[in-house]
Amino acid sequence: MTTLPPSPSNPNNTALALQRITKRFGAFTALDGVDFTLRPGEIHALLGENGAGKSTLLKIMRGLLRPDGGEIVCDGQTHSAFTLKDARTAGIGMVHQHFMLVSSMTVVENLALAEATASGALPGLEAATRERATAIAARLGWTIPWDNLVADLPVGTQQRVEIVRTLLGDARILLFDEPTAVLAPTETLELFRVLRTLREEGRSLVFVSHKLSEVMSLCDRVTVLRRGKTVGTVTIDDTNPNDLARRMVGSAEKHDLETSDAPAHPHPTEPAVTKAQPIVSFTKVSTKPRPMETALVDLTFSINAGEILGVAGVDGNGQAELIQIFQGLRAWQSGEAAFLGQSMRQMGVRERREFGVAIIPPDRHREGLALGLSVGENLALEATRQTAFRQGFWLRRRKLREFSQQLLTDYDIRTDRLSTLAGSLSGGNQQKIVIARALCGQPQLLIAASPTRGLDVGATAYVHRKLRERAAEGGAILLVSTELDEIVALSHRIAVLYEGRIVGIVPSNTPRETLGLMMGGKQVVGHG
Amino acid sequence: MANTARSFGRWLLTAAITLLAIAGLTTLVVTLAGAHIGDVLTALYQGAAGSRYDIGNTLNRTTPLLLTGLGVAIAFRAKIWNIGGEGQFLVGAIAASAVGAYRWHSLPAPILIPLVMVSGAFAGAAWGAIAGALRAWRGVPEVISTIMLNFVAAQLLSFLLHGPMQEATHAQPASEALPLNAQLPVILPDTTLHFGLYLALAAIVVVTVYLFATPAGFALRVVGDNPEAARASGINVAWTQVSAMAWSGALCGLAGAVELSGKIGSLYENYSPGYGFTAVAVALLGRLNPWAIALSALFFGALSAGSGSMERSAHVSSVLIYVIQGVTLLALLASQQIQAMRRSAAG
Repeated sequence: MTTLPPSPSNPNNTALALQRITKRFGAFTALDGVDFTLRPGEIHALLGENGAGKSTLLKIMRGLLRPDGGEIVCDGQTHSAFTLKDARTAGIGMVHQHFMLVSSMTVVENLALAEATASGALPGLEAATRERATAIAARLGWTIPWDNLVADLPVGTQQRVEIVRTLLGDARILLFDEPTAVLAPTETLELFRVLRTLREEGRSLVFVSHKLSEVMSLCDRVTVLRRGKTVGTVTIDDTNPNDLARRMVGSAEKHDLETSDAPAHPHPTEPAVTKAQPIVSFTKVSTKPRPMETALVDLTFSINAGEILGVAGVDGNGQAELIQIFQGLRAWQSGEAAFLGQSMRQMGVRERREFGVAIIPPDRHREGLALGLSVGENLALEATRQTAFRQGFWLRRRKLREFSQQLLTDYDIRTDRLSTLAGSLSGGNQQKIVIARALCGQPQLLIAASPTRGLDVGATAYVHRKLRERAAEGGAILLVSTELDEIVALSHRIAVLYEGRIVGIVPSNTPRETLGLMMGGKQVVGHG
Repeated sequence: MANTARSFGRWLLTAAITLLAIAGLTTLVVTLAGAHIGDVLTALYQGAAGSRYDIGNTLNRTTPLLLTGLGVAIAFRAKIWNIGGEGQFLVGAIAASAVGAYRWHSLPAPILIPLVMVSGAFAGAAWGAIAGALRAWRGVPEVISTIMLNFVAAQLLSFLLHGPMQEATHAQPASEALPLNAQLPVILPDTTLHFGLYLALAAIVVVTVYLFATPAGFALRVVGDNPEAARASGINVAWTQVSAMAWSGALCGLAGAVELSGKIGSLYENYSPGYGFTAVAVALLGRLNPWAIALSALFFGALSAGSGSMERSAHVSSVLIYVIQGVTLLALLASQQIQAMRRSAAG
């Protein structure tokens, strides 16, 4: 049981092949003609930003989602519809990002549950399962408390239970969806040891991640996905973190239309806008390390009036934490973050708004919009807090309606009326609501977090134009995005985040290769 | 406007299908109970609207359902699941009795009656705010805390009726009856229909205005739809949740006071025939819309008023009414689920 016999039906050295896979969710194309080939006995990394389509691709391999186009070749058979049953026959097992365990049941019951659906015979099942599971765990060097409730186990142990479960089903192909996201560093090392063991047993592994260092240290080959397309597959020896980072966030060759019509960037050393104190300044700001988050370390930067500072970096390197500081949802431990010379520590969410800080939140559905309310109400969300729109106990409804109507026109939000539910608009129009609300108060500081996520070309161009206009009027903008194209097109200076630190602040005409290096963690002498 | 009309049309269609399903299931149940559906419906109609007196009776039963239904709907709008309408109703009645029959029973009616109403509302608000505060600042699920507070309120009532608030002769566990000057006047001659109906109708307006024309009501709806977005836009989410529960409790407490002062007069054990629970069905059938809640309260009120006559002349147990209510709720939840599925399919 330590080594699997080579599968007889893979003459061309392929365990599983996906060809021209396309998957759409409504109007959104999650996967667009993706090719992916898994060889026997390799650990194959699937690398990409959030929303690149990694999980979707994995679910298709597992038979959980049905592709709209393309074929899956497995054991010499070509499937256009690959079902759960096909996947089980082919010996494909998956360790989900959110574990598929029944937390109110014991470990052995969970394992037996999977077995019961496969075999159907109940008597003696638990004992038999336990015996086989113990053998597997011993082989991997684990001790698992079989009789404990899953809910009582630490996350790392739950993951082991999941792995044992897939091995009980004798999976020859194991899919891991961001397995390290929930683990502490030491647990990650232990997981890697086991993954290598599984590879030596002849199994094929797909390892999804957006952490470059993990991919480099663990995997044999890597396929990079970007916006639902395959950027390429390379052997790990033929690549390096910088190359991978560049592939993930955008190719250097690709010429962005937006860039060409961009106004000439003022050179950062130009004193035109630096006469007064900076709008916002961070001095050695650090946050408390917490599990599953990236702690910010000694962030120092400042943004002047009329300036766009881009924050580049691979997702998960501290962007979310940085935005939360501005949102007032996260305190910092040491250092000082000041807005117009005043510490932001004392400012509540509402005071920040009043002082002129506006935020385009990274996830418009989660923090930006109340989808069950009307367009008008969403536009008025923050205005209702201003005294101009209330009269004692009352809302000045007519004035609010005029205000919303004005925004509707000014920001070209396409809806026939204010009473339309915000949830029924297209993503682009929803984002326009968020942007209208953020910009309408002429904010002195605008935090734009992934402002074009999920938008089409036209809507993206629109958002970019609005951000430029705001900067031209003298607003300071912090642009946080994982799209390097966007950062380069809009920013005057670029700060690169890596593992919670600013690797350097460089002018926007810095070559992409250099930016790629910095995003991989390499220090470059910055002159920002 | 077209949009509103369309969504109203869709609501009407769903409501019609739901009512049709209710009718079908009711027929089935009635037939199984060995009665004829025609007889049952005639008896129901006779009992609910057969005479002026019956109409008054139906409206009297509608009043507390409307008030509690509105109350529960306010909390539901903020996505706070207030199942404690019953307890809030009881403490409202207790406070009303304490004020009207004991503490200030000799005040003149124009002062005493409003005082009775306000004290009932305040007691209910406080009772609701307890659960709201536990939820907002301690993370206690309000479903559990409100149900528990129902028991506390029922036991409190029981304690008071065997002790401090027992009537002077100590003959039975009931409170002193409200004096005439604490009773709501009858508004329709030859019936028992009392002034509480006006209060309930006014409450519809107040709730509508509160939800749709005040900053606080706006904040409440935003919190109900997306608390994250509310927090990010500077709304005090915890405070909004507490005030939603206080408003919710106030209306349920007012219902308790109205019922005492308009109809019953004195407290006794099992004082509420489950108004606080029926309120959940009333609010959901009305889809949390104040005006639709008025209709659904009327529907439930008529059913309950007609049940006695149904038992007498169609020879089926009045318990059948509860089956009909249950059937209504099931059909209703199914229809809402179907709507939600249709919405997610469209989106």
